Amino acid sequence: MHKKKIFSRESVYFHFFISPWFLGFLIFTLWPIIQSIYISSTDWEMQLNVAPKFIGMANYKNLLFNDELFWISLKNTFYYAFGSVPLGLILALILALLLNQKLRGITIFRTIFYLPSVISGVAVALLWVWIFNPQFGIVNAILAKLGLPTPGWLTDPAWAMPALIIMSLWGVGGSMLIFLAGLQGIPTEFYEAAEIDGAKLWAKFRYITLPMLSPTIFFNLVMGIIGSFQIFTNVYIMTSGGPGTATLVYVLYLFQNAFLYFKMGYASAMAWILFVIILTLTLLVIKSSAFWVYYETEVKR
Amino acid sequence: MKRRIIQVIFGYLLLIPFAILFLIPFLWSISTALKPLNQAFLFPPQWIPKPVMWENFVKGWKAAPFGRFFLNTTIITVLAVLGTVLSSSIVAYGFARLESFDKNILFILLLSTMMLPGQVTMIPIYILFKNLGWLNTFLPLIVPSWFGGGAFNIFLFRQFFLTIPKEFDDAAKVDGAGYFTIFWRIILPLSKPVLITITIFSIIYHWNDFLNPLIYLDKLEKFTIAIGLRYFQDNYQATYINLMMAVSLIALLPILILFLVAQRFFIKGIVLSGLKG
Amino acid sequence: MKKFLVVLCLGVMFLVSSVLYAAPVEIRYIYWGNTEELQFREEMIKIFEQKHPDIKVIREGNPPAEYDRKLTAQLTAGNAADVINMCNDWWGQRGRQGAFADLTPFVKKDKLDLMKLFWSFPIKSMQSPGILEGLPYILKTQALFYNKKLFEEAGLAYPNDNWTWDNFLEAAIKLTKGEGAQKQYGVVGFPTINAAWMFGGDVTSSNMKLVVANNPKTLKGIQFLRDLIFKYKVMPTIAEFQAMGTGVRFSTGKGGMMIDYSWSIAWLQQAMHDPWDVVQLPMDPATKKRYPECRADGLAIYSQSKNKDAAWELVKAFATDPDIQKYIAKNEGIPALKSIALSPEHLNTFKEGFKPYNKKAFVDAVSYAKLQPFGGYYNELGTAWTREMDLVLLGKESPEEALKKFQTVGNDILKRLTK
Repeated sequence: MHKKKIFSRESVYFHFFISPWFLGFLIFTLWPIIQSIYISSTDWEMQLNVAPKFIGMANYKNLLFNDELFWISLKNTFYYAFGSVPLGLILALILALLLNQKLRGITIFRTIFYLPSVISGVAVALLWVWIFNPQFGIVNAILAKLGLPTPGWLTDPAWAMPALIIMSLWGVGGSMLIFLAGLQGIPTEFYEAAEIDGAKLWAKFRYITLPMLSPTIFFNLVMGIIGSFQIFTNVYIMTSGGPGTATLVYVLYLFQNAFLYFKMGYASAMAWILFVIILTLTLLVIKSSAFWVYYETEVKR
Repeated sequence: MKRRIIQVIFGYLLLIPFAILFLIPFLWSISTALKPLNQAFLFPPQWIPKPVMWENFVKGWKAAPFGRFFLNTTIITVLAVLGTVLSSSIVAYGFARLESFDKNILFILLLSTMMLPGQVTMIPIYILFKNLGWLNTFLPLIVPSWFGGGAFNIFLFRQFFLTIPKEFDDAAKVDGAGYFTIFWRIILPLSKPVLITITIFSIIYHWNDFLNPLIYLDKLEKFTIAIGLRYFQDNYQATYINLMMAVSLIALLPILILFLVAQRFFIKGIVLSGLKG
Repeated sequence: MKKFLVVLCLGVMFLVSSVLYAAPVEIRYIYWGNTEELQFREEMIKIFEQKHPDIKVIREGNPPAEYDRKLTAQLTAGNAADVINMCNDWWGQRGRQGAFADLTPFVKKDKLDLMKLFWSFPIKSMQSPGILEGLPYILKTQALFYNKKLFEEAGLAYPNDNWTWDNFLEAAIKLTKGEGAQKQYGVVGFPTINAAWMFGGDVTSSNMKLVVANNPKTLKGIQFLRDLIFKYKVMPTIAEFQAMGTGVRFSTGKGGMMIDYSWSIAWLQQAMHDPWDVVQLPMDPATKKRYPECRADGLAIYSQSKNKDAAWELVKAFATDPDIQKYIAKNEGIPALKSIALSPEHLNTFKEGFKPYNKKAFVDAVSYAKLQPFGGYYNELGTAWTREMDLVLLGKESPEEALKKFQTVGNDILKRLTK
């Protein structure tokens, strides 16, 4: 391969083709990042004719040491993430396994499971507020019929977050499809060979399916973590962080600081801390992946 | 043979309960949407409304300028999706087919931006648009899509383009075609599954977007459906829950129809983009 | 030379026509509203625009949950709408910070006799020291709602305007029956502020500088409220209210009476199963005085508006234009204009599809009106009040302790807010 000249014709065209993204990167990513770092070191509150004052790391210090709500929102977000991501992955996998059968009308089932993840936003949030209504919603109606206790869901600080987590399970269709694609990529020869060796259902699952699926699990896990830490719309519409501070999640608190109290510096600092958290978790998962993710090139017994 | 029958029965036995669980939210909302208000708050809750109030859909629609909101949302979505598909495919073509000394660095840069939470840049971007005088217009909701359309989409396109044999390109080059012609006449037409996938993902994102219209739009006539639904939420406990459900369902309809129609391509697109790893 | 003349003529014609053609002045109007209120205000704006073709109103109608945030953002950024929808329970906070223009010069210019046109309550409460901040256009008051069917079943005569709190309690006891989730309560709605006021007590001083809640009369009221829940057991507990609120309990026939606001009428007309009606709030048996909480929505002009004259036209129209006020009357709002509010037309005709009810109770309430101290700027005070009241109604704190604590905390808040 001959050495690429810096200004080869192809290179010029390359830059031309990627220019929309590169320009966008400069305008909407790089410059805002720099600005955001700067803003997070000021006390700017958007008032007219009042210049922002440089206060160094004060915002970060206040967040970490003087702000109870910061820690509450962080705790709530971790609660949500560690509830919805594992449960979501398990459910998505179960559904994918069920959909991986050769049955008549399987596409109808696939549509039913995938559809809810396609719709989102305000309409769905309003639907679920009603579904979880303690007195008239369908969830408690069914629980009552079965003779089970009927919690207050979104009106009860102890049950509000579980309600949100349950709601998130309705939208596992996306990761389910990715699992399905992964399942369909496992060569059937493996299963046949295992059958000949007399392996039962569980053994097949544990020694073939799971390892072969580990790259997909990895992908869904990373996407799930990144997504769950940024949950906002549902909480904003359904609970506004309540009851009390039970569902005050991180991005909601950030939004309040930015667009309700106009503490722009403070909110920018929050955004950076969020980035660090997500980055750290993702790197942890990536690092750990060496131990449990098998790629097709390293088939294990 | 018997084993097969058992397998089939078990298969359905397991699928049907889950399917019912997943369908219940829809069915319950439809039931509420069709009720007169004094039946919505009954205990124990009823499933079948008596009488069936089909007019709730019309009443709900008229309760706020939803026609206007629908139009606004459509305009924003169409223009933003157009921008997304065009610009992300062009950029992806560059990464997939063209060589340059800095290609790898830039690609890593691209991938790393996928990890950046939007909140980090949200405030400076808001200020940027404010200084440009673009507050209260659709521009902040449309223009960014034309600048690359999102790292995720570029990534998907690139993965797909890589699976197209280079021989097609070479054949065209021999005929004297330039890079752009190859992109437009050869690569794109062969990329139908991923084009459809990204179009659909993009439509869904912009149609349901709540946060951006919330912070950028002030005038009633510019609001989108997502904001419009907020009018049904009142501070006081008494809400017209039936109308709210009705309009929520109408708001979901376009996406549902779109998905049902384009299902086949869509799912193939995800698989073919090699998302397994 | 000819060419020059032609151009000159064209130029003059152009100048003259552009002066004569006055493009309509645009004013921005920011307001809140759920779906009904949105349509309601839209009609009012339309009536106005028809009469003022030279003014175009840019609607900035926000969902109720977003209004505060949007208005604060605009005020902070210095580009608020020209006409601002406000409520008199904001106690002129924003006026104090210079957000509202003084309407007195405009009122004088148009020779409006405010005390003749309106009740004193809305006008007085829209005044900050020295500034008239807004003109009221719609009133919202309280009344005692009662379920006729439940009264008949209990063998009770309907409430009337001569009721005292003793009559109220008697009825409440007789109306309470049943157990568990389906229990029927005598009282399903009783705002804490009404409790504080019911025997002549107060929460704050009339100049909003001091919290005076810790006094015997206020105490008596709060004790009464607490007793409703725990001693007489005629009102649901807080937990029960959270599961099913006032409006829903009343509309599904599980509550005999509730103290509620005129804005619930429209919803109740659709949601209510049983026949119902309203009377004025019961009186203190000792003084025969009653204290309904009333509010007034009004329009204010942004102090930095560049179109104050056009904005004034809208403010004036909403409050005094008979067509707009009549529209309010026909659509189940209480018009602020006294003449229209008291007219037989308003009192005796009802919106299409509405069952008749004793509208007069709501109108009469204005003469006794009292303004709650927790609106707008004083939101924080309201949060502190609710916190203490919740503890009392949960049975976790005695009324004496709560009022004492609230007075201390409240005065700190007020000191900070009224610096």
